[in-house]
Amino acid sequence: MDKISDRNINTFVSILNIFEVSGIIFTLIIALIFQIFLHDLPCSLCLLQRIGFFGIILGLLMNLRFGLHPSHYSIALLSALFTSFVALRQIALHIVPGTGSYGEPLLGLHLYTWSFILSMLVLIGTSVILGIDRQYQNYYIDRMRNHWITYLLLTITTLLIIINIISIYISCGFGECPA
Amino acid sequence: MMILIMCLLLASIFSIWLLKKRYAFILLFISLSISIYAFVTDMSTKLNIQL
Repeated sequence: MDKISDRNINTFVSILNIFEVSGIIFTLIIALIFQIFLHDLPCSLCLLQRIGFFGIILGLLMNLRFGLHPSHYSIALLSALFTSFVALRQIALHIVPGTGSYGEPLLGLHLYTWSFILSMLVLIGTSVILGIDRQYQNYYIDRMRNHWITYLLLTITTLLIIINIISIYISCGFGECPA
Repeated sequence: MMILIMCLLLASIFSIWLLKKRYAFILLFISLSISIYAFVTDMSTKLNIQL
């Protein structure tokens, strides 16, 4: 049987990165749909979770744009850890029965609970992916750097950040957001 | 503060577009640091929690 080539491993890991980024982008779009159509305005903790998710996306997009490096994974992991802390804080705020909740539930769980679950999944997934040693032989950087999927993900992320900036400006202005 | 962090993220993603890795890294780290600062101060002051 042929040995799996480094080229195939690079492609496989890049696909895993694309899959992870797409999942997080999907989550952020769901949050925006909740905000726009259900008038579920984000609180300051919700915004911090979104910022953490953007950090994960940017870390993984750097992998696609600049080649696979442990430093990019470290940014994604730090952002996921931050997101999970913020989500856990928000869960703890409402965990006692009778203390109310924030926003509408989705499939029985609130968005901050989903946020915690997703950030934990990202932590586990990224930790597993970064352990594949042979991916760091970056001879094939250019394959993903100018690939149309990379440009698509970059464009969607840029648009999402711009929409979030506009929404934050409308709801909070330049000052503190309401608690 | 949130709008500042988001603008830093926007600048970071533009650095990725323009293949400026060092700037993307620096901007991302600054935005994450400010986020952590915002989270900790939010916990300790507005939510009335003692750390």
